[in-house]
Amino acid sequence: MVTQYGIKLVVHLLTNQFGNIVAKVCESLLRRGPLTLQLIVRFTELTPQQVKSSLLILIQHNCVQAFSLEQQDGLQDGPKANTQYLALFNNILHRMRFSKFLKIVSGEFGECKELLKGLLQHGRLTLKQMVEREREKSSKKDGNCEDIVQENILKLLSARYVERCPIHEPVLATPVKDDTAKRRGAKSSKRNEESETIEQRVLGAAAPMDAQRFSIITNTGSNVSRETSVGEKRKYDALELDRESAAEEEEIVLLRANFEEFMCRLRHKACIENVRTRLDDGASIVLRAMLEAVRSLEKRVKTEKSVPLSLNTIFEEVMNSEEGRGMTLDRVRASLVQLGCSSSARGSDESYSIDLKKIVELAQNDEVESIVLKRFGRNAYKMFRLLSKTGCLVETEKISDVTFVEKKEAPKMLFKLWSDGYLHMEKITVAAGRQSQFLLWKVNKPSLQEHVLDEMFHAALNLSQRVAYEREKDKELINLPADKQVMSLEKRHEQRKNVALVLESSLRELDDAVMLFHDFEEPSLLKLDL
Amino acid sequence: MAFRGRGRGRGYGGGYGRGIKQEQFVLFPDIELPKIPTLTEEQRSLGREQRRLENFWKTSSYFLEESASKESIFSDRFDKRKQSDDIERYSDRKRPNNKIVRDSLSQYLVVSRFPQELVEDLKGQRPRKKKARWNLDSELNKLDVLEKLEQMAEGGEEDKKGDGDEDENEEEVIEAESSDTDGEYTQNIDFDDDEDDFIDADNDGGDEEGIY
Repeated sequence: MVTQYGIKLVVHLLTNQFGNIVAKVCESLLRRGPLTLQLIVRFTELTPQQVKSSLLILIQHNCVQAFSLEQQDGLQDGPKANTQYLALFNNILHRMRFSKFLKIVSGEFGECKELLKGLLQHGRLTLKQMVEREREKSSKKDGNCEDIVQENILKLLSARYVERCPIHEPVLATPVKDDTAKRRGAKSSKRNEESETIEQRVLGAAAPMDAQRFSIITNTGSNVSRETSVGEKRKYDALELDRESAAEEEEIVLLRANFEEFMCRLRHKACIENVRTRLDDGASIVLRAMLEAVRSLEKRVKTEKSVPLSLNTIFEEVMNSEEGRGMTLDRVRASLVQLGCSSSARGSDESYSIDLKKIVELAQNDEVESIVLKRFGRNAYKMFRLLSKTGCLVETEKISDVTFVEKKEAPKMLFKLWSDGYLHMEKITVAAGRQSQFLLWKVNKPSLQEHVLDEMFHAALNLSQRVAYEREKDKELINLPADKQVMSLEKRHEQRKNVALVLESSLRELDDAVMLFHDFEEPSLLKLDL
Repeated sequence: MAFRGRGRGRGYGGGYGRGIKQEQFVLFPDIELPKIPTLTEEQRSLGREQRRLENFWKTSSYFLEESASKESIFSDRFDKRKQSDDIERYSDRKRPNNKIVRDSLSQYLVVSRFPQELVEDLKGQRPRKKKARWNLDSELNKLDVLEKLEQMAEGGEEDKKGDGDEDENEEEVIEAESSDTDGEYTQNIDFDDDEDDFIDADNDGGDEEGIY
């Protein structure tokens, strides 16, 4: 779900991080879909060299994926491949979350944080580059440093926090129905579906198979890889590479941060926090234990239901955690019922699975309801909540009767909610005797989610612009001559710093809400079981 | 007819803009903000990490600056000194040197893992600044151009012998090829604008011919 303010936000992020030339190239790709180099030059009106450098930077930082579309009407001696560039909206948006990713790794493997930081700073690095970087930072002996880096990389690979980079230019066979054809003018849902389809196809073609994705070829030539379960789906078609390219692959192994795994962890964290606030600590402990147990088996960010686990397995996992040591088996069972886990009997053992999608939906509802309450007041909140729970068209009078809102005030409130995009309205004219008109209201979940998400992107854009402004003012303050300073420099600097810190903190909290509606809701496009 | 005219006198609209004062646009006006909440150490550390990353990108070779420095969107005045940073002045001795020295972008890139069209400049030793263009007026002119090119090439080789040692240490610079090689014009091989009718069809692709 890429909205207008979503594009503006990621363009602002890139302007801050890589300058406006790179941002201009990326904006062109985000607004127009996949483009060739010549078309980017034409649309951006930049020099070919500027566009090339921008694309190199964007590909290096995993913000753009190159691909070739095989075209049959090419040269006489067979089909020609035409390189196109596709902007990856999600990957650019993840750049706001890099500090969160670093926090996850420093909590799990403290010593691996620096390696991940290097990968986030440079987008993608080879093992050799990582060793050189580490050697420069610490004055360790050559051999020792290499061993430490390799050991830490293996830890990150086994935890799936780091992965091998995808194929730099996968070739897509042109389908019978042209997927890339984009309708100019108004955005339609059909167009969005098409662009998603091409993104899925490109990322699916570029992604290496799992055994290769989380493995590294060490300097001895042995292939050290993470153990993969028997049931893992392998992509045999991805292995159909030429001998030359396979040999080249072994020479250089490019690694990057696996954003999808980090998003999985953040999704789990959000679910646990939501359960803690909605239910109690016991339920959150049980949920955390279950998610830890199934972590290695979870394939995508949007897993609707967790893998079924036996009660004994869940209880063991709860006992392993520090907070859950005091919990009894009955308490665990009660928490599972509280969580609304669906139980199924497997022989003598009963197994439970959690509906994560439901938890995310409840969290989304809470978020929207809190927005309505703050913006429109308690009466509007009551009416909105009624319509949200009902899920179907309700007449104005019935709404005012159920919610105990005055008959005169109810239509005004409903109109306000409708005009701001929070409700869907339908007019029905009944011509029985005398003509009368009825207004029916309902909450249209998909359009509401898109609207709320766009508003969140808008708010995030405003916040990040304000942060940039505060930082700029801070620089001006430092360069100000002493005679022109009204307040003491330290005091003013501290004041500005505090304001910027609060704004940044607000931006991170807002990003948590964005993730709830954008990343945890949509199917992940980063890892596909095609 | 006495009523015609613009009514410039008193009471005839002469004082239209009298009460309106042009106010300066403020991007973020100072407003009463709510009480700043105290941030936890965790929140502060997250902020520090993100800021460090952003500072790294801003000072790295990944940050592409426009060749002509433009006015900051937040600055009130435009400092004309910014336009010519490369010119040394006596007054610059006291000014702090805030110029960022960036590494070469090619330092971090693994050239083999990028599309061919993006890295063709990086792969060659040093691309030519100018691509020789054919003068298509006549066959005689063609030969003259070829002779000149040969002379220039010989002269260039002699120069290279002298400057060879210095060139080795120079950093590879990515330079733009002449604009006629890029763009969508190269795609339209059969394009005819009905102007150059006297040029043979054989010579249409003259620009793309080899350099001898």
